[in-house]
Amino acid sequence: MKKIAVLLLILLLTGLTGGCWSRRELTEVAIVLGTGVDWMEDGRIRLTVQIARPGAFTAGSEAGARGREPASWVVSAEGRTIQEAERYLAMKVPREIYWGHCIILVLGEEMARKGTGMITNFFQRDRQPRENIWVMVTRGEAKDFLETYSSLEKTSAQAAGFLERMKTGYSVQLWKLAEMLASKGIQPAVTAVEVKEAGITPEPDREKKSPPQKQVGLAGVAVFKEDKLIGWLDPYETRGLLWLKGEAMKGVIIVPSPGEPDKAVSIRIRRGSTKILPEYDGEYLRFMVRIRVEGDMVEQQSREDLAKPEKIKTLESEMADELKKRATAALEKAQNEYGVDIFGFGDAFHRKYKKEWRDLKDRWDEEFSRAEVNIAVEAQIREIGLLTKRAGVPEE
Amino acid sequence: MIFLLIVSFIGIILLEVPGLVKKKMWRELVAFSVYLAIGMALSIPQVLGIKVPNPSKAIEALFKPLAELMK
Amino acid sequence: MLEQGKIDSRQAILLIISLVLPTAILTVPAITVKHAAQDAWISIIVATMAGLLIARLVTDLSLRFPGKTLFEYAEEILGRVPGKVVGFLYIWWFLHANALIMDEYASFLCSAHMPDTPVIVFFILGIAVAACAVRNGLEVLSRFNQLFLPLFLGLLLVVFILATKDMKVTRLLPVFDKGAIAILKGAATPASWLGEIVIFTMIIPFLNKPKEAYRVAALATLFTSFYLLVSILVAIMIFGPNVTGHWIFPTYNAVRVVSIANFLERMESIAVAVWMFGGFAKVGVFYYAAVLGSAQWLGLKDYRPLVAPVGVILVALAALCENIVELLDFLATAWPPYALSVFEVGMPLVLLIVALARGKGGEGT
Repeated sequence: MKKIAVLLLILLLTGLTGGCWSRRELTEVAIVLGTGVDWMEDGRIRLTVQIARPGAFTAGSEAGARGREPASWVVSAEGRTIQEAERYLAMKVPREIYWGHCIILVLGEEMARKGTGMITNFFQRDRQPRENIWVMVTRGEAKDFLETYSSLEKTSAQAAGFLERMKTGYSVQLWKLAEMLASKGIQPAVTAVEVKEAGITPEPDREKKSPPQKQVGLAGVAVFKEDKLIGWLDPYETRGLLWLKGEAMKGVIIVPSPGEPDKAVSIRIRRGSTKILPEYDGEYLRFMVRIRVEGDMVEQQSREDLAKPEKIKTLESEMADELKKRATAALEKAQNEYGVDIFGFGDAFHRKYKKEWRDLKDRWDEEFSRAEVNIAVEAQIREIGLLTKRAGVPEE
Repeated sequence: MIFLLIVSFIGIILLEVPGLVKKKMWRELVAFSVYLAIGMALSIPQVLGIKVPNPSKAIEALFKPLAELMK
Repeated sequence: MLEQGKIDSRQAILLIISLVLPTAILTVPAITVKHAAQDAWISIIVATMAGLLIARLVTDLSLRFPGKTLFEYAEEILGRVPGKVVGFLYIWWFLHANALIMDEYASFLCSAHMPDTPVIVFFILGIAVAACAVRNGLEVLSRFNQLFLPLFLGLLLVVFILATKDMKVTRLLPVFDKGAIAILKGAATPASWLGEIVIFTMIIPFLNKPKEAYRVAALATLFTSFYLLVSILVAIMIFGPNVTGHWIFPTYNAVRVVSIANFLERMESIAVAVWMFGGFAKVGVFYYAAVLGSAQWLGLKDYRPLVAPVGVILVALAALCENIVELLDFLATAWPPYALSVFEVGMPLVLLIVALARGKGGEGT
């Protein structure tokens, strides 16, 4: 009797433990590498996805570089929401759409102007897309961006993802964007990207030289007020933004050579740090920004001997000036042109003056625009490379 | 669904009752039956699609004044 | 004696950690952060104080009646009928709490990992596993727990250490931003979780060294609080207080964000797999308490016949939960007063006072 009972229960359980419930093989899923969202005239959104073609990712296809199979497939569909668009997309994509490997989320310019919050929501709420998707705004349409070819990487989504990961410019992941959107003490700044002519692929036959290809590239920063795009920073101002946010720490500063101002010297940044110190007396709002930077001299155009302590001192002060100029350029644009605090000065203020913050937080951007900001840069040069003087200069 | 449920109830009864009868544990048998009856009363209507009141709701109502403080 | 097994102090500590921690790091961080923002860690410290007091209260009470569980000495203290009423309420609470625990787990798995699997499958499988453990007694439950809990705790710590790369201490500033009331509100939920230690009254009689009960309770509470504190700090230092409060399961999201050199990432599957074991242990302890309590309440010679019917009741109760919003709302607002005022502080305190007044039970050690 007992045995029968046990058998019955076991039978019942086996029905439930039959392995993976929602099993999907690789050949049944369409892996999304990049997502683009555009705003359409009629108030709907266009979802564009770049789907990986797994066959093109195997090692074999690398061999014949010329006859390379395209590694991705780009499709779009429209809808009121991302999910609706995805359902229309499913009518064209013969596999289950899988978001777990999405690297980038590109917003078209118009979409960004209408608001990003309603787009990013899905990518945070759904369990498949990850928090560390790179978010970017493209000048023009996101569809064009995803349809771009990449010469070096397999797909343009990967190319854009690697560009962001290199931190050569300002880059932001979804969870950092969420924090910026949720805080009143900082307005979001998102990477700006664009499609531009970038290099050519050499052909064996010079006569058949291919025209320059359009490829994806970084183009500064998109400035937001709340979740709406209001303007841009160019790459130069972007460097300033990075310094004010304390995030740069990579890159090169060009300064004039002390003895020959028409010739330039390059200093590669090694490390740096930024401190924002707010001061507030109930009326007058002031920020002290202290930037500390260390760099190595890596290039010299002038003929003079720079390997002397006093020359290095001059270079250091020029480096500090140049950095201050960059930071000021970004700051002025944010304060005067756009009137938004994209640097997180408000958060810094909140940390120090929690009571005053309660009064100021709802009109923070105006307060920020009026605030006086003093930038003090302390620069240091550590190494000068393997040369003392410029090589090949005869002794005088 | 209801079939599976009844099969599992029969399974549970077959598993426990013969042993209890053999050992003459009548008190245990009664307790077993009462508990299983409660379980059936809670589960069978749910499977049949009849709405069963959620006790959490009653507790929520009972502790409403205190719960307001937590908002 | 219904339970012949004995467990040592180490097993008891681990069992109490399992009793609280698995769901505490799941749902508590978001609720606490919503109230206290970046001061949530202070809330946890406040809750720890409360937890230690509850642990002390519960142990004091139990040690006056060596070898007896809550259900037995409640009758001795209050008399037959009031004692039975108290016992009945506790049986109900163990069942209800357990149903909520299963709901938390099921909605977590459903929304984060297995969207196509009906929740009832999680309930039935979870209860089936826990039922096996409970049928075999406290000793087996403790050993199962002893085997998997260190894995759970170790892995969690490793993940937290890996996440340090993305943390910023400045996100914890300014301190005392929302004020004392917000901090206390934030403390209520973790305190009600730590107060689940009241189940220790069902375990103390089976300790092989009851004298160490104080140490066991205190160490377990401190250990649990430590993990809760770390998981809240990790979430706030990664996401900041605003976004942490927006997530439902911030600790899970924190695990997802971990990415070391684009190589060591997507670790949440491992974390969830181990988390599941913790869930089984937690469900198992509550299950055990309900079954043993029922048997004692009814004066049975064996608790095992009740295991299966109680399992049915648990699955049915858990299935009553309509959606995750109801569940979260209940946990955030009704649960703390419900659990704390009646079951975790109120009744044990009344029992202890009456016992002292009537001179029942021996002097606590």
